[in-house]
Amino acid sequence: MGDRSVFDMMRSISALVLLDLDGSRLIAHYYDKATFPDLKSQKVFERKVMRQKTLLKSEISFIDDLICLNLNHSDIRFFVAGPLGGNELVMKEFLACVVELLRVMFKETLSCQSLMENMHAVFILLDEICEAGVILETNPLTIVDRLRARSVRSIEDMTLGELLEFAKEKLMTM
Amino acid sequence: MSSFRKDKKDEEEGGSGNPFNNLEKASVLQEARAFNDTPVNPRKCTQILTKILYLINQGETLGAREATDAFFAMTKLFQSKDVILRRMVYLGIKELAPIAEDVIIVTSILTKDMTGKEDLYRPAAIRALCAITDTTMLQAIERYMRQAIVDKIPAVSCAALVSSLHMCQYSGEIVKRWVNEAQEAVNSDNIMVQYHALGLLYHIRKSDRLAVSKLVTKCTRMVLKSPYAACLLIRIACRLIKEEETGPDSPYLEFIESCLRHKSEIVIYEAAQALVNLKTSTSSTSSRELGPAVSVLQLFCSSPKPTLRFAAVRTLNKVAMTNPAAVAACNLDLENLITDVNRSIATLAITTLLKTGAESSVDRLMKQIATFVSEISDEFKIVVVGAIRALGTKFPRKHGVLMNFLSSLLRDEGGLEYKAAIADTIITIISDNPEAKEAGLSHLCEFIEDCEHTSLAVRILHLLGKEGPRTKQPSRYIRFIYNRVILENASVRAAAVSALAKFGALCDDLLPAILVLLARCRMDTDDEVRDRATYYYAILDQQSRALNSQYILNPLPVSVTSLEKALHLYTLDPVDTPFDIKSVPLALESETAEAEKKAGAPEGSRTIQIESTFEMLQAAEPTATRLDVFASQLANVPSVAALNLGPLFKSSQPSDLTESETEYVVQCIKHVFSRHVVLQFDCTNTLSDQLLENVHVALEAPEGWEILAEVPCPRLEYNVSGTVYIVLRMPEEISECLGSFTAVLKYKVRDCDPATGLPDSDDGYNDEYALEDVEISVADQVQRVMKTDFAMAWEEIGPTNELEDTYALTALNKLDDAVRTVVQFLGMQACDRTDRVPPGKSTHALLLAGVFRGGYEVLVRTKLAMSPQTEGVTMHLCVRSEDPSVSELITQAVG
Repeated sequence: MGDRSVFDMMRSISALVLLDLDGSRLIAHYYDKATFPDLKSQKVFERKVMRQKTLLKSEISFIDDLICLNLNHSDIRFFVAGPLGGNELVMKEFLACVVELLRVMFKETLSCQSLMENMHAVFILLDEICEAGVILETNPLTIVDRLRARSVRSIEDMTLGELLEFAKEKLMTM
Repeated sequence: MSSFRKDKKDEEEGGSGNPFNNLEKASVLQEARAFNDTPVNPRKCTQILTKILYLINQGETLGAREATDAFFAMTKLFQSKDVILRRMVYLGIKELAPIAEDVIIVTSILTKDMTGKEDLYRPAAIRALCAITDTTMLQAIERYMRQAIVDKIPAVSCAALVSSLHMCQYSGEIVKRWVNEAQEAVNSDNIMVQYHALGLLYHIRKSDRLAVSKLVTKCTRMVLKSPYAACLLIRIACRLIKEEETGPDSPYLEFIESCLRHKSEIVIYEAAQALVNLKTSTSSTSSRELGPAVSVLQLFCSSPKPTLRFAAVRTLNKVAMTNPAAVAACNLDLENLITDVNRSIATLAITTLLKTGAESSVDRLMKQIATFVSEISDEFKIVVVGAIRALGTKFPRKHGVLMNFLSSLLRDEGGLEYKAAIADTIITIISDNPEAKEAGLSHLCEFIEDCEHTSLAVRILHLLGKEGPRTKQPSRYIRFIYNRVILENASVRAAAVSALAKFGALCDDLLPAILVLLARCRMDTDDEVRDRATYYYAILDQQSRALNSQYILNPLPVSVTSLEKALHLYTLDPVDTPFDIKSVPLALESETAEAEKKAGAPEGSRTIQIESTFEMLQAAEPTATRLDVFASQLANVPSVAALNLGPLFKSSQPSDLTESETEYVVQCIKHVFSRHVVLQFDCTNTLSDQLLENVHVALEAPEGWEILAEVPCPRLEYNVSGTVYIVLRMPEEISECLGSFTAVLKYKVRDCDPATGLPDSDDGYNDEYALEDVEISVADQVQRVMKTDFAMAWEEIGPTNELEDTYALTALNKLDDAVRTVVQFLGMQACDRTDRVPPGKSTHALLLAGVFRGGYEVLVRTKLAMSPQTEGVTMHLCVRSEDPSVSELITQAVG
């Protein structure tokens, strides 16, 4: 604790991983390079979370020296990991924001399939929520507003704009 | 759903609807050539860029060349005005920046985007820009970064702040100049800006404690709206409290406590966690001080949200480790959590309860655990077993309940690690609590009847051999052990044979039966089992107690690697004299004990205690002992090797002859041979402007000692350590072999250039530096040896060279301190666990065993008593050894 840099102190999230039902990686962001230095350690982690029944059934558990949270939506499993010294409630809020955003954007059809088909939108979305493990914003409405402002006018690609427009309406009525 | 499908073609290719199935790096990079088309096709390029990012995300690695090519192709996409494509390009830049070369080429275009009118570009452009910027480039964009930090659009400000924090890791000095902007941002209305600005401001000021405490004081007053910022402030306050070691009335502590009433659960939990960490790290905390934190955690315990319950019970568990009384108030809530659907929460609740629970609740808790233990994973079961182990030491009277519970766990399904943890716990309970021994052994006997783990069975058989013969009814174990010989694989059979032999050696009435069983084992199909049976049969058949204790009960006193080396040398050079085992260096008891400790108790499988020679030889990859390392080092010094000192007996731990922060640092290691001592002086020159030449140590030896050889160190450069050796012959009379030598370091100094290390001139001057005295003590000349049966060894050695005396150790006023001091002073091994003083006793018997250099066995029996009149410990010491002068030396030395 003594010599940790401030960046480490502010990094609430060590990893965000989206897997399908078989445990194959859909999208994975490993922010903590010290804990996950290479693909091998990441794959080991992905295997472990899929094996932990407690985690899969009821939201939270330990995986090695990490606290890990899980949320399932249709055929996607979302996992967030953070350090033992971290705050699991912050991790929970972050995870809830990611899932909520994707859910409202893809209407009720959020699934591996729709995720894959709109991968570029997902990449951009996650980039708005978190930078290198430091949370940028966790209010879904703010994020949608930010992206929506101009995306609608993107002539060539209507998809993201359309999705955002829908999400905005949805969030406003909630 | 069909309305979302973008690219029908990809769908068909992908087959299962996943457009990214079967992507190949080479073909995707090939596709990236489309980036060069004019006009840019945004949809197509977005798709290709997504594929590249997807591949990288899947763990595909690009080479520097591939990344650079893709990166440059990507820069062409800046021509397009499509916002989505532009965002993807930013992501691509961030992803490829660490691999590709010459990435700074996009600096100007990103700078334009970050200062431009398009709000959607600006934050992302800042983050991409910072990913490609190094210290030199940072100065060029510094102006824009400063502006961005205080931008009125929160997203821009956040991006600039977070990126600045990121860059602090390598360009701290430049970022430090942005303190005014960060200060302004802290006052922002936007909660996220506030949070990130606080982080940056703290980073800039963190080395200035006064500024940090000002910052914290100010922020605590302004009531931060952002929960994240509040959490960060709590963490900073914690650091301040730790650094300043302020008392209980610190204003920071007051702030953290006030956060327990924050409206956000995140902040409440962070504050509770911080208080627990702060308070449990100082030992003198009353449960009352933890009260407020514990009571908010208690509320969380009954929350419907699993994460909240998890957070609460995890933190309470931490409190229970140091202040179990403070958690007692939550016992009822914790008991409700035992049946929690989330098994992690249930397990944490159980282990917390086991720590806080009273003796009277043990039975009930065990019953509750039993109801769910089969449903949790091995990992958690091990945690539960660990908690039970702690409970066993805490409430020794409850061993019956605990033991029954553990044995029922042993019968259930489980992996090796789990079973080993249970067996370990039973063994710990047995060794701490003699009352539990019989029950524990019979549970273990039952377990090996049906144990599929060879290593565990071997370990238990070894324990049975050690403990079984000393129980009231040794005969009952024979059947269990012999069953192994009939039913198991070779390793287990061999271990069973060794265990049987121990019964034969210790229980006279069982000997005839054991001999019959061993005779049967001589027909075994396995070589090892047959060899052992034959060996033990031959020894037991002699019916000699001395033989039994030396060759069956006591472990091999030498290390196997050293023995192997010595035997190899012996066979290389055949002589008429028989091989003398005394010429082999003794195994260091402490080293093996430490190695076992390191391996860790729960991983019992790895700490299988190996006792007999055969088992030790079987043990995988023999590691060179410390002694072997020194022996070969000394053999490489020609003038030491030429003296032919014989085998190395013992090397001491290095002792400092100088203060640690002085011009020259000298450490001394004493290598003791049967008649000689080699002093090894490791010297380091810490002055960068000096080169030392012809470094040697002048030693003033007392009468009787003779300096045979000196090996000076020719050159001692700055920060390169060098070694000086001195060989001494010890006095003939053993009783004179303790001494203290005045030592002076002598050398020729040549001043030199600190940068190059080259001397300024050819001539130097002689100088010297006084060192602390070198002491040769009893411990240097004695090697620890473990005797499993001290009484037997005591009788064996006989009273011929017995000496006794009584001493008053006035400086010590606790028995366990006295025991530690005596063990350390004599350098001998405490036997029969006599190094542990049971609490509350006023007398204690300490049994020590060792071997004096030259191979003389020494045993010491001490009786320690607290003396009420003199305030101190009185010690009666009785020495027996194979040589009268050794006994004399030891009684003398203690006085």
